[in-house]
Amino acid sequence: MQKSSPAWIARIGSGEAQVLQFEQLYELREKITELTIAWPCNTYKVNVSEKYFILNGGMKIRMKGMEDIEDAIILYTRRVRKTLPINGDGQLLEGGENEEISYLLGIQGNAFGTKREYLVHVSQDGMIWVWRDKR
Amino acid sequence: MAATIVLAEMNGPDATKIETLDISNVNFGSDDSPDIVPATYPITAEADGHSFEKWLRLYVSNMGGSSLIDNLKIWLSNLGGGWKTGEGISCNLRTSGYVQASYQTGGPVDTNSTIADQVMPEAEPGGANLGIGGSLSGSIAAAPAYSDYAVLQLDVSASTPAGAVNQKTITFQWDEQ
Repeated sequence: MQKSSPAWIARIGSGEAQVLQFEQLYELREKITELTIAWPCNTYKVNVSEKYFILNGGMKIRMKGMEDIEDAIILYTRRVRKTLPINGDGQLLEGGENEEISYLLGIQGNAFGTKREYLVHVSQDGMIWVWRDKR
Repeated sequence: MAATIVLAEMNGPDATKIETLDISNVNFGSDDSPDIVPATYPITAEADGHSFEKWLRLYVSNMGGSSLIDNLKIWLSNLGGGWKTGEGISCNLRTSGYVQASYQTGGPVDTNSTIADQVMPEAEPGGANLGIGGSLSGSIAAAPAYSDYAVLQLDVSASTPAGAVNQKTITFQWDEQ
């Protein structure tokens, strides 16, 4: 599969959805009410104001405890893994790809005085992990 | 575009140290240099035997549109055929009680490292295990910048069999916002 960067589609407040660059997200992170990360074949959406996920256009998913979060803001991260051999021949992995990029997308806030995060960890080829903590 | 980050290895005494950017492997051996051929610089199997330390750090040359880089993790993600008798890797990576490593006056050593005194993790750590600016919760907001040093050392014993050890894979992970 040819790797491509996803499109970031955000709704700011109650405005129309718009395509943003990754570098715009940081400045807008406290204003984003909905964010979708979209590749040609799959999409992952998080609605911050109503606190739910939608994976690939399916049903709304609300993890246990998400509804308790107060002052929720978007949580997003580009996660990069680079691998190197030890005691090997110094060659990169097949195709020269020794770097993998995936994305974390969700909400963070406080519930009952404790910081909480709920997120999905996704990659272009469809791997999905649902986590309750970014770490 | 993701940030441009490469692995850098520092070698030599502090006064004359040389850094190599974008190393292609973390091969341990009996020489203090990057990207070595292990067969050329074998480690003697002996009681309390050690390779030269590897002093590695991440070098961020371009933020690539990211605002923050943090949550650095390093671990052995593939042991290949596993460990030989008496073989192991020590490191200074830890998720709590972290202390930033300072480059030593004499440079990397091939005696038992007093800095790499932790067991190298063989699975993704539960949190950052390498700091930025001396803190596991540190971050990089502008390039150029470095992480703290990761110090690794291969350990062997008198029982370690002669010949090549199994190839392993080390993973470096970071988050970008």
